[in-house]
Amino acid sequence: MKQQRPVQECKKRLLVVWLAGAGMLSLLLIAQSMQEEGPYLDRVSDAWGWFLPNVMPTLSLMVGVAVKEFTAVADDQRVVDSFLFNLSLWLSVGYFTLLMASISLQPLFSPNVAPLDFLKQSNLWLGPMQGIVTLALGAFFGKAELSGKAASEQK
Amino acid sequence: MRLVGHHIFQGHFNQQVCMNRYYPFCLLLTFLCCAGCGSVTSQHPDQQNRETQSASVRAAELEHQRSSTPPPAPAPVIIPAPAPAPVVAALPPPPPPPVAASAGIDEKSMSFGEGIIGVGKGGGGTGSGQGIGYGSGNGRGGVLPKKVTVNITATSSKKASDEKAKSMPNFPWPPPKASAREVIPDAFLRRTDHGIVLFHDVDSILRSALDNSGYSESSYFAVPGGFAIATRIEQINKNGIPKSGEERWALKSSPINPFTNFSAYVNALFKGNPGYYRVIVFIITSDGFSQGKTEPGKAEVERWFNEGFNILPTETGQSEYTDHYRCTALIYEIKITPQSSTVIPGSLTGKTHLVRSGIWSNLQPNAAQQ
Repeated sequence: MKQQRPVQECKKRLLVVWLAGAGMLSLLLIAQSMQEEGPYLDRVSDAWGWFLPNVMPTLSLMVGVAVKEFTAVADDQRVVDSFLFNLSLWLSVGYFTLLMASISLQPLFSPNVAPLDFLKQSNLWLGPMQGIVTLALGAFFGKAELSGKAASEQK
Repeated sequence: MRLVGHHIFQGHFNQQVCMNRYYPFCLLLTFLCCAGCGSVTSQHPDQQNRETQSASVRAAELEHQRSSTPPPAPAPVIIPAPAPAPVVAALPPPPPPPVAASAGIDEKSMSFGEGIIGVGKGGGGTGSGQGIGYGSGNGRGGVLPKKVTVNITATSSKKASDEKAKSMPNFPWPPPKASAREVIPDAFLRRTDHGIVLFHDVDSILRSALDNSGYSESSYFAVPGGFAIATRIEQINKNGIPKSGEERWALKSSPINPFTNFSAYVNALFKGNPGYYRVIVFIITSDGFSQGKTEPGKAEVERWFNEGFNILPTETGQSEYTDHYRCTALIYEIKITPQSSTVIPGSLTGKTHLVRSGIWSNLQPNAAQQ
């Protein structure tokens, strides 16, 4: 028998992971951008141009869905497969780990490799990873269904 | 006309033939012939050109004599001189540096080939030409007779071109814009027991100080009125202290290990990790100079080490380091980021650079005694 979890709780956890990850990376980039002679020098906008497309589409979708459901459905009794939730959660954690590594490993290669060049190179592995994470999240949100008890009551 | 030419080339010049209308042609052919004979001794085109010029100058002089004397008279004057070219050849090849000096010809004017026959500053003849590209014309000599000057100009310019081939390469002049500079105190460089200080003595003091500071390699260049010593490009910290070990001479920065130097890692994460490099150029010259308007690139600064002489040539080393000479250290500090590598104005003074590199303390007279 499949293990199931309440979809509201799972969505909250995923949203926390994404907000925390995106928040930490944003703070790191802000700190780097505020330095007079930071690693990106006069190309700070390029660094943000790398970061925002990697995070914002998925995050804005998740926030939008969450806001809509929290306000529209007062008592959501839907459940979701635990495997789907765990897959989405750990893929998200892994994705943010890769994002963080792409920024924090720059000093190991600087000044021989420009930090921005390293960020652009990181798209090689971040792109496929982002696709996998998005697929998992899509499956998670699409497979949310009413639990057996709630479904019988509704009938 | 053919007959005349035949006679001339055979060396049997008929004076009577010259007295008639062929006289100008005879005169011209005579000197062309003589110039041609002179050029046979040297196959080098430059020398040929110079001797041709010399011959044309002589022709002009003789033409002047001809015009200033009645027509019948010049023939006996000119005829005994079918060997004007040997005048140049007969002059014993003077020893390299003293040629220009003892002749009272400023080498600087010769090196640049502007056709200026400079005259030395005074009497004597014991001047020391420095045998370097720019030359410095220390020579003191009297004014030479005009005719002799013309011939020596030809030989001297040949000598200058020969010396140019084997002379020290010239340092860019005026020197490129530096990050900082410092005039070395004269007391640091005048430490000989005998009264006269030579370039060689100054070089020895500088070399010793550089060796003791870890700069075991450097290059020599010629500058107007003296010479220059450029150190090998070294990697430094932002505060001017050289990096330790092999990293000092590495042209690429080594990566930061966050497990061994976490503070450096954090610093590099937020402030970047630019590489700082430095080249120190000591310029010894009696001429004052200002710096150029443009900074050199890293590639140019790296080239200085490869292109310069490994030692100070003996001829240059024999020049006297008079009271007019000063040694100026130009510091080229280069900041290398992945985006650029340029000489930066720097936040340190020239003296701070010399102190933190260790050269200043090693240059001090008491350092030598120790």
